[in-house]
Amino acid sequence: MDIGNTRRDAAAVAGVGHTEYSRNSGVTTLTLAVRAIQAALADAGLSRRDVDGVACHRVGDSADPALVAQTLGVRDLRFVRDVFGGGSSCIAPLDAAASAVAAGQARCVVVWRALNGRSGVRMAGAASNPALSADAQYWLPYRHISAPQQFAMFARMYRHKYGVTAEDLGRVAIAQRAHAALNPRAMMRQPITMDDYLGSRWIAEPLRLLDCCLESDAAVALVVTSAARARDLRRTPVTITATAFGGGNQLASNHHSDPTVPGAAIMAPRLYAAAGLGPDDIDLAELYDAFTPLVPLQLEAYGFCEPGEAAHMIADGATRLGGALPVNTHGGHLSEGYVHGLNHVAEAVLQLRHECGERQVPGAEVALSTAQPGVYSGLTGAVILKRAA
Amino acid sequence: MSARPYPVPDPDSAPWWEALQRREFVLQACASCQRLRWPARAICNDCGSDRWTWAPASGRGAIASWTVTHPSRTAGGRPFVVVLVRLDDQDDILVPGHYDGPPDGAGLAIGLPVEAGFEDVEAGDDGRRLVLLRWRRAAQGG
Ligand SMILES: [Zn+2]
Repeated sequence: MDIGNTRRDAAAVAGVGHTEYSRNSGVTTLTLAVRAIQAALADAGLSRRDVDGVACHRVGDSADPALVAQTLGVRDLRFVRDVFGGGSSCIAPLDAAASAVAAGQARCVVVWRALNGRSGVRMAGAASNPALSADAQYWLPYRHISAPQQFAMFARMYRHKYGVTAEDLGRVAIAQRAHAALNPRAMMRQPITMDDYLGSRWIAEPLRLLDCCLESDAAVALVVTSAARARDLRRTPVTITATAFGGGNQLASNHHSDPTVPGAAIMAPRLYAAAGLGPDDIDLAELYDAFTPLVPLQLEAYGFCEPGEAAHMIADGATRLGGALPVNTHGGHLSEGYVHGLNHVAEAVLQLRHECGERQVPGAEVALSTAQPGVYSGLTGAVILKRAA
Repeated sequence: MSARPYPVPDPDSAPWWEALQRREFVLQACASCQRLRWPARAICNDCGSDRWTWAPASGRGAIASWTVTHPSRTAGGRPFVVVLVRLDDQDDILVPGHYDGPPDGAGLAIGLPVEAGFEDVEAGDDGRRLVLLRWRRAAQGG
């Protein structure tokens, strides 16, 4: 048995909870976290008394998970995973929860991400946090500080390598906004045109405003328990078929001469092997989209098309609802909101439960949800989820 | 836009910054396997050796990418260019810097040969002097 296969489909997501998405929540990240967890438990038909594990990721911008557990009213905490990291690490808490449940360390783990990403600590300036990267020192004196600047540097390389045009990236933003228009939770629901996209102001060339994710105050939570137990709960179980991690390289470090080949491209075959599935088995993909170029990059990295072909795949409509592989069906970080990848996992779960109303992918059985593909961060991860038979 | 941040060196990077302040552009050369590396690290990620020397870089490379940052109107800043240069010395080393050219990046192209120069700026809240890299188009035939 290959590494990673031992817990295939052993754990399941039994509940999903969201807070409201806003630009100013007016409450602490502790309150956001507990509210989202309460909603997820209610969705699962469980109570706080059932919770014996907690897992989250944060970058010094969110409440301590032990405090969240105490505030939630957990009496006998058996599993804690407090991951330091941003978008690249966003699958790690879910992975830890699945392993803990499969190994019998805990029976019911709540996983969340809570942030006041607009009114509090804004991720756009995260590069100036020396704890996140020792190499930031080489960029900061050039006032090359923000995430849009970093990803703009990458975006030009990616566009140049494959001849990707501004319109190609515009189609990503337009498609996701069209999806968000069907999503009552989304912060941005007004459809946009190519003129809107091309006319949006420069943030850092070659990235425009409409290439960039939103900033949100919000929390999302998931309830993870065994697949067997999830069958007896309220909702259609969605099993965690496989998770994987990858990376190990950063921009401007030795041995990484091509930043347009992300960790995800190296990791994806392992993910599929662990799942016993391939790209053709995926019905929808929720791809980490802090910036538009990450979407075509990941379509290639995860084998949905050949390198350099993603822009054509998007132009052909394959990634829109009704296409062969709907992508970011909730609108993604670009249009639903920025809950650091966990809103993507939540959407994948809701799609596999067939609860997405107008934006439902008919008959969805298998979904992929990804972390930041490893550009700059040197780390990535992903999960494949399956609707329980 | 707020003050230009002053870099906060660590024990690995301090000699590199000190050299730059003397207008020297240096790279680490592993004493065991001879590979060059940058950013500065105390341990070679090729062979694991913790012995190295600081070697002068050729200062030649080619544009790998660039950005033109447009600070928001409220920040009051003007657009500015930052380039990323792939070094001729070893093609897996990419070094950022300013560019000696127009602030809209006109004339830049991926692959354009460039050479390292230096510039004095003020950085930090107290406006200390800081030497940074400023790349310029390579002289013809250089
Ligand atoms: Zn060495």
